[in-house]
Amino acid sequence: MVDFDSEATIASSAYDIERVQILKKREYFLEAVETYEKNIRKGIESSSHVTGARLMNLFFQLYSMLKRKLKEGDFDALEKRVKSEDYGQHVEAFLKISEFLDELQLTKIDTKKNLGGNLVKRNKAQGWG
Amino acid sequence: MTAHAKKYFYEHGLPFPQDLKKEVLEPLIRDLNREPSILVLDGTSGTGKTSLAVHLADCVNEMNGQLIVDLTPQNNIQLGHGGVDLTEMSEKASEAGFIVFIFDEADFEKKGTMTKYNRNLHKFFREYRQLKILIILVIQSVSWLDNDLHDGGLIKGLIHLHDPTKNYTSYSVYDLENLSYLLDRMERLGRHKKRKAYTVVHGYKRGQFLDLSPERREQLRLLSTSFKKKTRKAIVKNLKADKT
Repeated sequence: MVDFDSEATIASSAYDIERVQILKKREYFLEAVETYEKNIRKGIESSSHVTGARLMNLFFQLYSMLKRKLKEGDFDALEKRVKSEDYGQHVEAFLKISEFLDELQLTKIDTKKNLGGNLVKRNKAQGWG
Repeated sequence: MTAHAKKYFYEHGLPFPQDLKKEVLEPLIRDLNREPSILVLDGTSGTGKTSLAVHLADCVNEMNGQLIVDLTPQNNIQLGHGGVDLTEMSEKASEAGFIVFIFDEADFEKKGTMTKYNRNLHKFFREYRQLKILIILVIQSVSWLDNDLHDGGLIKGLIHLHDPTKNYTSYSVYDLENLSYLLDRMERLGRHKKRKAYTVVHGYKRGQFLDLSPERREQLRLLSTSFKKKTRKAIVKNLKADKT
């Protein structure tokens, strides 16, 4: 949940809250992948129920947007992968969703020059003296 | 459910996020060696503009090894309003060793006040460029400032206040690039839709600050009342002078 009493919470509109929640759910999925991969590498038998549940969570958060933006066939294929119990299918589905998040500019952070937060330096870097 | 006591400071000891100090206040203070700086605070009535201005000035005073701003009407030299001479008051503050001065126009909305306010600022810019002081301008909308003031190069940024709640108010910091887009958008939206520009052009940094403590708030209220009395007296005096 978004903690509105926290100093770090900067969301103020539905738009911002939605963005924060999507990124949060993406993070949850990546954490589940990490745990799964760690266990596999340790030789511990692992099931894909956590990655599946978290992927489903992310998928439902994006459901309307994906349905609107993807071609019908692509959407159905993605839904099938999300509902699958196979870890490999989950990863494939996540990669597709990742591309979508990049298009939404949610994870595309490498195209903008990072000016930092220093007000005076920002002004100078942008030609304001 | 347990009731939480109202907070006046975050765990790091400031009433606002640390990055506001490190990335806005400290660079502005360092830059004072070259010329005075002006930081504009704007927002509608009741958003806590003067409170944030006092928080920021307190922080600058502490950075400069001084006590927090004295808000008692008899000792106040760091908070002025539109009815006073900015050059005179800021000079007084500077002579006393302070490097920050608040110029508050929040409570004065009468027609013609802004012309006087702008005139006051122009005079300051003309005569006091060498004064090493940070001026915090408190105003309802940054669009009230003359274009010439923006061109002067002394305004370094804007903090726009919005969405006040019982415990905190949100703010958005605009650098000059953001500010130029904001002013441009305000001009295009026209007089009655200017406020919408803030929802279209966002600042580069956002956060929240906490309220002033009840004692400081009371001091501020008393100070504001004394300002209003002084302004009323000045208006009566001017009217009498006009009649004669």
